Amino acid sequence: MIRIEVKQISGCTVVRCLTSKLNDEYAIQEWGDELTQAAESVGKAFVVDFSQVMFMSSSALRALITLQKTVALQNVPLLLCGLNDSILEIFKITNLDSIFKIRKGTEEAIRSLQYLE
Amino acid sequence: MSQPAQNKLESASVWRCDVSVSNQTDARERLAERLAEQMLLLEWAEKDVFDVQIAFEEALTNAVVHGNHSDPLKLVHVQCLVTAAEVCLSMRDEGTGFNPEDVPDPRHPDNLHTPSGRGIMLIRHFMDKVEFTPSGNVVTMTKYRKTQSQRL
Repeated sequence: MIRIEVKQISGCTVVRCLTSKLNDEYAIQEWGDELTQAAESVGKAFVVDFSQVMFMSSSALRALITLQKTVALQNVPLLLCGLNDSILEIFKITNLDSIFKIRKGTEEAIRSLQYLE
Repeated sequence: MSQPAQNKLESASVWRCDVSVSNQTDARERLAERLAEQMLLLEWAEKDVFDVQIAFEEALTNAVVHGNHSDPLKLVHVQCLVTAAEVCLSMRDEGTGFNPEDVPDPRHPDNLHTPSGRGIMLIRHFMDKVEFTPSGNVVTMTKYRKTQSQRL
């Protein structure tokens, strides 16, 4: 099971992943469903904070791509933040850094929204 | 590395493992943890441990999900060799195999929004040598230890 914490900050839905290893495809499927559910009543943006995550497999990437489609239907931006260097490398080599808005931390993600509007 | 430290590493036992795992995640998780522990015991860099773990997870998930179609009665046969110089992993599933060349490039703009198909690319990126048998149901992958100067 992947634990998450959902908060509303400055009108944005912020989901913080509290589990350090995102590798179990069954747990990731549940996690993806939880994220999608949270995205259905999203604020002005959806932010996923990975600062507690040390490891991420491609199953998590799959869940995020599916999430992005749901969030896009709400016409709000999806931002990812708190990625460590190794996980960021995964996004870069797969070119997924070109389709996700990646920010350093939650504050920066929320602050950057004014430039996206 | 100092000579005594080098000698200590060389005398540390090489870790070999030959096991068969089902689609149950607990057994796979324990195996992944043992692999990481053995690498750290032989003083591999944490980044290398991360790289090998990614490749291990991706190959095992491919074998369970795509090879064995998550059939709980089918097994994945895993062989691991961890030494101070290299880590070699081999996985054989009980499926009909596939041609890795048929997997589209996930980095192509047309495929960027496709949810799956990134596992093999990650394996190739994080390991130094990756080979599939012609039947496509066995993958063997190796990571070589880099010297300090190679890291710079």
